[in-house]
Amino acid sequence: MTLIGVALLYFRWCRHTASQSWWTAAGWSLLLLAILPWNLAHSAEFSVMYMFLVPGIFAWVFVARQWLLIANQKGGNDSSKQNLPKKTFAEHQPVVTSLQLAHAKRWGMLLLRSIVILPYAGTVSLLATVALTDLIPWTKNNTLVTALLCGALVWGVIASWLLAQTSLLRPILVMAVVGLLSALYLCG
Amino acid sequence: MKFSLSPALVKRYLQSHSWVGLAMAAILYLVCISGTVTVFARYLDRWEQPDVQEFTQIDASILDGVYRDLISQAPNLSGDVLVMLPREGIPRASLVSSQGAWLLNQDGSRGATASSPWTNMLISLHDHLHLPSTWGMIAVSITGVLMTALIISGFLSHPSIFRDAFHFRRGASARLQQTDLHNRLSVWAAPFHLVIAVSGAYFGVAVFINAIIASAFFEGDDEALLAEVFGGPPALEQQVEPVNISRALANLSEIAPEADPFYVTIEDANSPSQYMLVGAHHTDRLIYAEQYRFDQHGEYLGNVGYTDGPVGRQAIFSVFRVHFGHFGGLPVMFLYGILGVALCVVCVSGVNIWLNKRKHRDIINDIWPGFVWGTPVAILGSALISLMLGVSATAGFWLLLLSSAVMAMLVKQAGVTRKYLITGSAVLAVVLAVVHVVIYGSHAGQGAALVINTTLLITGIVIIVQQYLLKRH
Repeated sequence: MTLIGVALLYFRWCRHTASQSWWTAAGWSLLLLAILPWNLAHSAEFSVMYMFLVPGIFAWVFVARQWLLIANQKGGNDSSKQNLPKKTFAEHQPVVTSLQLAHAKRWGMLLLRSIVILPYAGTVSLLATVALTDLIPWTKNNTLVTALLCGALVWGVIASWLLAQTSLLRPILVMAVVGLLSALYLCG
Repeated sequence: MKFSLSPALVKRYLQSHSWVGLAMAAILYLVCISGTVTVFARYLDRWEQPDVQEFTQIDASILDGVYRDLISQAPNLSGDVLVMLPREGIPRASLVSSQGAWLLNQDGSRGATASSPWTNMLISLHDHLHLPSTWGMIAVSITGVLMTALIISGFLSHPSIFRDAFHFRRGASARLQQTDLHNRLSVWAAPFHLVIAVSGAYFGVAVFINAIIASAFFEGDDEALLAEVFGGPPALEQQVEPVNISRALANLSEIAPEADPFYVTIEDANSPSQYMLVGAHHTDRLIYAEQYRFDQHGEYLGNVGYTDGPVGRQAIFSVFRVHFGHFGGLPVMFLYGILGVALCVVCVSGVNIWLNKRKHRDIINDIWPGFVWGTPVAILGSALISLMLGVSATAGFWLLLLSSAVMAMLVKQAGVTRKYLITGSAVLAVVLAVVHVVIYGSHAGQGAALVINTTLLITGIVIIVQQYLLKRH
C-alpha cells in the first residue's frame, strides 16, 4: 500500500494534469491507510513508526527513476556536454588566502547573536511549554511527559523564528511577555 | 503544497537556515555519524570482544550464586548491581557493580572483564561529544534543538520543496546536484529527522525542564518529580539477605508469561531497602522494558507501569528505542542505518551547497572535505589503534581527525583530499578485519564478528577496486 501510495504521488507529479488530481488524494490516503496492515502485523505503536518511516525509503525508487529518465534524455540530446567535468568548489579561484576565514567579523556577529538568542528562546519556550501543558485537562503524569517531550520541539520552533528576524526588538519583547506570564502562572 | 509566506520572510528563513546549518554542521555531522554507527552498538560490542561464551539461555538458579559470590567477595557492596541476561542480538550475560563489570559464563563463573573501549568511545561521542558528561549531553541536546530549528526553517525557506519532491537533476552543475540531494533527502526523511532531533534533544533538555517542573509543582524535589514521571521505588525496611533472583524470575513467568526478562537490577544492594527490578521486553511495544519489582526474597511487589500505566509513562520510556531504532529487529536497525547515513549526507551537502555558491575560497574549503572524509578514517583508525595497541580510542579518534584536517589544509584540493581519505578508510577497513582475524583467530569468524569482518573486507575491497582499478580501465 505504501509503495502504491508513493507511486501514485510520483505519477501525478510526472504528469501535472488536473484530471489526475485525485491521484494525489489517493496517494496520501494510501500512505495513511497503510497503518492498518502494519497494525494487523505488529501493533499500533510500531505501525505509526512504519507509516512515517517507510515511504521515505520507497520514494527513492521513483527519485532514481526520474534521475535515470533525465540522464537518458540528456544522453540523447547532448552527450558531449554531459561528459564534461563539473566545476566544484575546489576549482573556484581563491580571493583570500586559504588560511584566512572570509567575513570572519560577520561570522562572529552571527555567532554572538545565536549565543544570545538560543538560551533566551530556550528559557521562554520551556517555561511556556510547562505552563501551557499544565492547562491541558490530563493527569499530572501525562501533562508532565507532554512538557518533557514537547519542550525541545517548541524551543526549536521559537529559535528558528527568532533567528529569522532582522529586527529582534519586537520579537524579544513578545517573548519576554510570554515568558513572564508563564513564570507568573507557574509560581502562582 | 503551497505556502503563503512573503518572499522577504522566506529569504530570512533561508539565511537563518544557512548560517545555523553552517555553524552547527561539524558537530551535527559528528553526532549523526556516530549515532548511525551506534545503532549497531550491540554487534560492535560483540565484535570488539568476540572470545567470550555466547548462549541464549542461562539457568536462573545460577544467578543466585553469581550474586552470592559477589557479596562474599565484597561484603560492603553498595549501590546498584546489574545482571544482564542473554537476549536478542546479545547472546551473552554480564554482571555490573561498583566492584567492576564482568561477562559471565553459562555456568555462572566470571569470564573476562567487560571491555569495549572503541564502542564506548563511539557511544560517548554521540551522547556527549567526549565532553564532561552532563555538559556534553546538554551540548548534544542543544544540537537536537537546532536540528529541529533547521528542519522548520528548511521547509519554510523552500516553498517548492514538496512540489519538487521527485526532482533530481543529473548532469546539472555540482551545486544543483548537491541541492537536489539535500532537498530530496530532507523531504523524504523528514519524519525520521524530526523524531531523531526531538528525541535526541529530550535527554539534555530534560535537565532544564525538570528543574522548572520540580520548582513549580514539587517544591524543588527532583525525586518526587522522577517518581511521578517514571514511578517511585517501594519503601522497604528488611533484614538484609542475599537476593533471590531465581524466585523473582520464576514468579515473573507466572505473573506475566508474555514478558521476556533481559536484565535484573538489585537497587540499593546490600541495604535494608534493597529490592529487585526485573526488566522485561514485551513484543511489539516501543517501551525499553516493563520493570517488575520484587523484594529480596523474590516476592512480587508490582510493576512500574510502562506497559499498562499512564500513557505519559509509556511514552517517556519509549524514547530510547525510538531514537536508536531498537524495535522491529534487524530490518528496522538497517532502516535507521540507511536513514542515518542520509542524515549525514544532508548535513554535508548543505555545507557543500554553500561552498559551491561562494565566489571565493578560504580555510573552510580546505578543512571541510578533510573533516567529512577524515571522520570515517578516524572511526576505523581508532578501532585499529584500540585493538592493536590498547591505546585510548578517544585519543586515537581525535588525533586522526585532526591529522585528516591538517592533511586537507596542506593538499588544498578537495577532490584529492577526498580520494586520499576514502582510500585510507577502505585500506583501514581491510586491515582492521585482517588484524581482528589475526588477534582472535577462530572467534573472529563466528557470530557478529564474522558479519562485521566480512562487511569490512567487502566494503574496503569494493571501494579500492572502484577507486583505482575500474577508473584506470
